[in-house]
Amino acid sequence: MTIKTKNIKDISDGSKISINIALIGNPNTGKSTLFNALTGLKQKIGNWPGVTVEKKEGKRSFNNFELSITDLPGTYSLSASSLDEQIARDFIVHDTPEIVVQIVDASNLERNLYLTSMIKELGARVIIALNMMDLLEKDGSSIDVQKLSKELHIPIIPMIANKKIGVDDLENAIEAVYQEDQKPMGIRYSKEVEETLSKIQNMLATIPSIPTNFKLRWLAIQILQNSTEIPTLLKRWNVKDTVIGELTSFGKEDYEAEIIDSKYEYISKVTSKVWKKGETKLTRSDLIDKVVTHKWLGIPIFLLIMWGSFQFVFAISVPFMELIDMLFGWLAGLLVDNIQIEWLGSLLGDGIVGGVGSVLIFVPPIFTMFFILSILEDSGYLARAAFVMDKLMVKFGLHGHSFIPMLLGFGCNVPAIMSTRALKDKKDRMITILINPFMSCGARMPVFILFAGLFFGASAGTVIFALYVLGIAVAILTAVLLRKTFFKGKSAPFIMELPTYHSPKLKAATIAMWDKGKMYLKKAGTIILIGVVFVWFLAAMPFGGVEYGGPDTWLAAVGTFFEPIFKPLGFDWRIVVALIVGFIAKELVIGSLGTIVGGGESEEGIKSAILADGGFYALNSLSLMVFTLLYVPCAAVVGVMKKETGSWRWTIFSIVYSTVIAWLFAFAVFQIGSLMGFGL
Amino acid sequence: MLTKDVIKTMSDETLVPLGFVSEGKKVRIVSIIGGSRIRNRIIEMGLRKGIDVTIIKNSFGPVIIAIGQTRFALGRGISAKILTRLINGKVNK
Ligand SMILES: Nc1nc2c(ncn2[C@@H]2O[C@H](COP(=O)(O)OP(=O)(O)OP(=O)(O)O)[C@@H](O)[C@H]2O)c(=O)[nH]1
Ligand SMILES: [Mg+2]
Repeated sequence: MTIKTKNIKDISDGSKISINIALIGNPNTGKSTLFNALTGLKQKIGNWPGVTVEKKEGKRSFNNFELSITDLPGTYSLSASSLDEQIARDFIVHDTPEIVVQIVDASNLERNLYLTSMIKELGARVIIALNMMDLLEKDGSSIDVQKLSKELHIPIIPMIANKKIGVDDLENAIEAVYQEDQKPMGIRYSKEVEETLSKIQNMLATIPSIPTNFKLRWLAIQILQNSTEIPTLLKRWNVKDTVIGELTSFGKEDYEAEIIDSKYEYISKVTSKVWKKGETKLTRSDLIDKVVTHKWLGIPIFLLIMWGSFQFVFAISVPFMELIDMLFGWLAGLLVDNIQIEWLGSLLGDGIVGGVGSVLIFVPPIFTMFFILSILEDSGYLARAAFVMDKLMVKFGLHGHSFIPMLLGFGCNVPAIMSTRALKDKKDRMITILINPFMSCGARMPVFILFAGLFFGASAGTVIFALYVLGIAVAILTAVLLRKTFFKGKSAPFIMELPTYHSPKLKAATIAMWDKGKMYLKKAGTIILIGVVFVWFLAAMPFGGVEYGGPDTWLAAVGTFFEPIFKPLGFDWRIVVALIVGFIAKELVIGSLGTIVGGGESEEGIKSAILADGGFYALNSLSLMVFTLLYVPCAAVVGVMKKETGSWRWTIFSIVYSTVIAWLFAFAVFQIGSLMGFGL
Repeated sequence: MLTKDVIKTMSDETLVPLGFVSEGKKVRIVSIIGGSRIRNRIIEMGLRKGIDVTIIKNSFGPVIIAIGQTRFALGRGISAKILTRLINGKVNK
């Protein structure tokens, strides 16, 4: 459908023309940055390849247009060698957006244009957003944009997406492109290939069930290079098996290489006219890499960064936490003392303030943690951590790439598990998903900070660090186990682009911190609130007569029923209850304890209540921390696990396995500690 | 997979797998061996015949290479499969 400019200007009744636009491009080229600039939304941005692994839609209107824009995962081609690339490919192929905006990294023109050539074959109208123009001149390269645009028959908009430079020009280009058809690129294949292509095309033309929006030439090329998804696609259109067989018999593996070569050949010819290549120079990034990825220094530096981070989190947040703790303690006391209706006072004081309050105390460390993670992601170090760990990970049957989801797990396991979509090998991916829950997420940190802070004094930071390392160790051991049993085989080759280091921007990190931290606050107001009210209810029942949180309550009945299982770990029934409720979300471990123990009996917060209680001491709190570290993180992780593994069997395996592991480790800690005389 | 093409190149002494080129050297990719699926994916990432590559780091674990402003980390296995030829042996600093 083509609309002429005149007609557009004529539409004065306010009705908008809607256009579907896809943002596609190589990884880490700034797609999500541009998406955010266009839509005002806050897609996650990071300086490493594979940040976006799911499509995301946003809107923008200008003049008479209502744009519906989709941000896609990064991809090098449309061959879809991993799940995230498949999501990008499927959107471009099957959702047929009216305009495809390809974000091209100006400093890597040739490879980026390779993707362009594939998109053009689909018959899409393309606009190139030539991004990172600010970095182009660094090595003395330059691009004749106008000439390139002429050669390719594609509008090219130079941009600096993170400074929103070029957005207006992009709008104009969208308006212009929408009104005219685009010429195809001038790629010609060898005579043999072209002849076979037209044979296939002729055959395809006789099949009426193929949707008209599919470019037959594109389909023919896919058939020729033996694309794995072609038989499924043809079946979906009810093409007869005999015809499918005939069509696919044209395919040959060698053709794919030839087709790739021809594309690159054409692109090199074009770029040689417009692109002045710079010299490869050793940059500041390279020098940093020489240190950071050094043979002997690499792993110590990584551990130092981690250790430093925890010390920092701890040091920064302790004073704020004291303050919040005092505030909630005071508030709880006030409520319990002054509300005449006794049960209401207890619900508000013990339940809500005691429970939700104890969770909110940990806003400072959690926010600080998110802040540090954002800085790591934005600096470009994350990809180096993967690099440093590669050698070790290979020994354990994985490779460096799997370490990125592991590190992301320190924030939250849900996006971390989703980020495994960037892994190319199915078995690698399954293992990486299944070990992720052992990476300690932000929600487990409150338990560590509270108990390590109470019972381990000055070495609290080190204890917490050790717990994180234990999580990594268990994850890695699990990987070895899984590789030796259910997922035999070799991991895919490790190839990763290392992004240039940026000096991290405080403003961006603060925004990212707030975005992630918001979820924690939201959770405190919803699921945690419901959870603690539920715990409060059980702790106050049966109605009348029983001491709140005492041994005669329903809560105690539940707890004591399971207590024998946990006795060897040093847990009394209250801890047992907290751990059971904590299955839903880890914040509820503290929340429940806050409700049960730290009730509004005095004007003290959860800390003093636990110290005064007598049921908690160094050794059983250590085993509690270990158990919390290792057992199922939360219901949301179970959900994403099911979604990403596609299997209930593995999901249930993960739940059972991690709980058993948690029990064994906590058992070992408590029993060995007791033998050594650290018991009560 | 030893194709005719590979055997021919292997007899040529000046061909060095990327993983054996020392730091600072600049080389040109001559061919990539291994299964076609993996090979095609590497080519699509921009590592292909005729491209000049500078070795930034090669001592332990993966190799870091530079193609223009782009940096890649390549695992040991894969960097053994990318065959290269030295460009005038000059250290490029
Ligand atoms: N110097 C410079 N940096 C940019 C520009 N645009 C984006 N960036 C940075 O490039 C990095 C990658 O940005 P993203 O928007 O996450 O890239 P993406 O293409 O969505 O990445 P994936 O989702 O991983 O494929 C971030 O660190 C951005 O701040 C630009 O024009 N110039
Ligand atoms: Mg993105």
